[in-house]
Amino acid sequence: MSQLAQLIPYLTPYEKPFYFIILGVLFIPSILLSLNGKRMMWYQNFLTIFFLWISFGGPNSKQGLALIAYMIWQTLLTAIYFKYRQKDNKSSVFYLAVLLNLLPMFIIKLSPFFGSQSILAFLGYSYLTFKSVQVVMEIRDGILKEFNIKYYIQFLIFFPTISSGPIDRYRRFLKDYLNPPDKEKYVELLQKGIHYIFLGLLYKFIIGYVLGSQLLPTVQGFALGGTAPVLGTIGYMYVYSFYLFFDFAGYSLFAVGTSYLLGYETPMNFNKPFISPNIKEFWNRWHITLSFWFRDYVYMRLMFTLLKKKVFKSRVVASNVGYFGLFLLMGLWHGLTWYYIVYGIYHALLICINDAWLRYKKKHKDKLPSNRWTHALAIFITFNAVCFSFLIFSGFLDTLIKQFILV
Amino acid sequence: MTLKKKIFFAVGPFAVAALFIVALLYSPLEFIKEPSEKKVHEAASSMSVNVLKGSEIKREAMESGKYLPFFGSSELSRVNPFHPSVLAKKYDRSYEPFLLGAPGTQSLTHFFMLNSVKKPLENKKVVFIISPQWFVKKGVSDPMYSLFYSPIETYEWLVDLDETDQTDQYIAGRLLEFESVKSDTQLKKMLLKVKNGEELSKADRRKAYYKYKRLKNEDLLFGQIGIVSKNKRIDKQATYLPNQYNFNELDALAYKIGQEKTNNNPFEISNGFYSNRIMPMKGKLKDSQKKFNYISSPEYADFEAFLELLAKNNIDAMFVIPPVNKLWSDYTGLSTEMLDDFSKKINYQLTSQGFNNIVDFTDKRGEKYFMEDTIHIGWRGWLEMDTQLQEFLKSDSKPDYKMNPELFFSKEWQTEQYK
Repeated sequence: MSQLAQLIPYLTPYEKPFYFIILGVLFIPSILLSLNGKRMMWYQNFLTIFFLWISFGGPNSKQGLALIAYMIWQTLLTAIYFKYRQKDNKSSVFYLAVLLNLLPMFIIKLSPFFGSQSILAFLGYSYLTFKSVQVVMEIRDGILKEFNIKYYIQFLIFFPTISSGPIDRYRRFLKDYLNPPDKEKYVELLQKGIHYIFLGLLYKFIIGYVLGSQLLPTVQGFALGGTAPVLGTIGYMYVYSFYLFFDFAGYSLFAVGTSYLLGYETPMNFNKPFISPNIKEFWNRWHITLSFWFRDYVYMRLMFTLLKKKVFKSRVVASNVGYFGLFLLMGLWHGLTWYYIVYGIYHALLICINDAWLRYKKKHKDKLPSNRWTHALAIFITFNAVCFSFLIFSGFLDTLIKQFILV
Repeated sequence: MTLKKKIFFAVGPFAVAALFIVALLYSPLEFIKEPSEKKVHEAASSMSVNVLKGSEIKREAMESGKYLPFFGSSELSRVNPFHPSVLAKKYDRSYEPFLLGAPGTQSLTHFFMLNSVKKPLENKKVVFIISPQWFVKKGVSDPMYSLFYSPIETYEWLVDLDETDQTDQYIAGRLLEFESVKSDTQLKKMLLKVKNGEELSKADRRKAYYKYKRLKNEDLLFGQIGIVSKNKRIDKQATYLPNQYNFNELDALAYKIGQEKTNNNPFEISNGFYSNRIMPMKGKLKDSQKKFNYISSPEYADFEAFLELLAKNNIDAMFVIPPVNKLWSDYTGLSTEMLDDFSKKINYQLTSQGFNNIVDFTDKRGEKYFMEDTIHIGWRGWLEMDTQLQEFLKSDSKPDYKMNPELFFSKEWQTEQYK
């Protein structure tokens, strides 16, 4: 057994090309079954356990324990809330359930302030939190009439998306879980899945790698080495933006492609974000599952409350407040540092400005030109505004400032 | 198209590409020439990230025997007529400085840099400039360490480990504190073993070796990108110097140049630095450094690891401790007693283990035009250092080290003041 343990390559999801070699080999039985329109649940469970083991075992076994503890906590909490909700529906209990659901995440996010990494932390905890909060909210809304613990656990620990999304929805996942694709459908999924994985390899391991490991340190060196602080920082801004896209989009393609091979149509996360002509469009194309999650579970609910209770007279003010709430929360979710918070505020500002501009455009339709050139200009402005937001997001300015004041 | 055909067309081009990449990254790259002499000469003064992180160019330089390594950080980028590279060029010294450092490099980065060139440096001499500013409460920051983090040098160190000793255990534990290291699960697994004093298995070593080989090829392919040499600047600065070396004459010149270059502020800080770095924050900096403390820091142990490496390879080193400009520290409230305590502590760590070539400039804080700005050695400082350096290079005394890792890796030493 210890001999065997020696051979297990511990890897976080999609960490290296080698992960795909293991994936390719172990998926063969499952693919052959699916091509015959079948799905063996026991084999999928074996795959889940195996791939979670190589990611959360060995050198990461502390995270593995944290994951198990987290799962127990969320499952119990959700089950209890479901039972309660069938009998009663107090707002206060709902808020408490959400708060308890978010508690592990709060503790983990706050732990750096108390000196160290929390023992509750594991790779992907915030993505699991998105999935589980969503379930609590749908129970509250009465959309979920049934709650099956087994399904719920399968939904949370679905391994292709466990560490960084895309963030699936419970009901969508359940549909695929309970209805395996037929032969015809699966051939299509298999083709797409393979294509996505290969595109992901190009994105993450070739383009993203060259950008991140070769180009990024070089421009960073120019900026921090005093050779060319301003130019270096501008260079860093663009290189980092592209690196972030190729790395994360590549990663998301892996997750989606791997899901397809198992017969699950996990939603896409990116759709050519850099051709967005305005910032709203950008958020519909960048980290899509996160934006939509925030739209459905934060912004809409907040707006509903604000308008129902008539907090603000004007819809415009209400929606602007809603945007600030949403993006501030999103910034905070990334981490409790000044640059994530500024990143959130900056995006909220961009969206509000964009809204104001659209209102202005509506009024002055006849006076404003609209052609290929204005469209190109819109893309150019949006792209640069977004790249600047990523410069804030990267934390590089923090490093730069810290170095600058050390005199 | 049948499914088989479809899959074949999806996988085919990719398989060809994959084979090509594997061949490129794992093959013995004999067809790529080693870095040329010209390239090495350019790299020596560049302080470029790729040079510091890579291994080919450094190894080539040290094997040639023409270069004297200067380990340091931001002060190395202060190229004025008295910078070591300028003096070496102008006065036809027997060595050319190879600058191993950049703003943000600290002992841990230096440890890996030295480790990758320890063989050609055996029984040779090196220069090491210690910045008191490294010795802050948390030591080197994560983003800074990550910028200079060199996978190739880290794997090289792992591949070469035979018997893990206290230094290796310490280094492994320390590496596990950085994000860029932790994201490599295979490396994390091996480091955990080394940290706990366990043997690496055959499989571990084989994996590490393959990874190292791949990184080495990558270094050959990409390691020479983005090198911006300072040689033009060095040549230009050399023209301001008289053709014959004469200390008194040069010192007077350094005084004069220092005076001219620092006339827009009352701190004897070079004009450019003052207007770019101080003016934007003027007023905010007054009394801003009262609480600064360089006495308690993991850097002391990181530094010890570097010393251990010197001792193991019988390398003789000259250590330089730069002062902090007194006019400036009076303004910011940085405690000179604390700086004196720092000097005492680091001196003890050095001399008690047999490192006796120490150029401690701590008490030169008030010297005119010794510094170029707030914390960086300048005109007269460089010249003074050069004089000491010539002595050091001439002397043929052999180092005799008596290492004391028990004490200097201990938490107590890292955190307590030396009385």
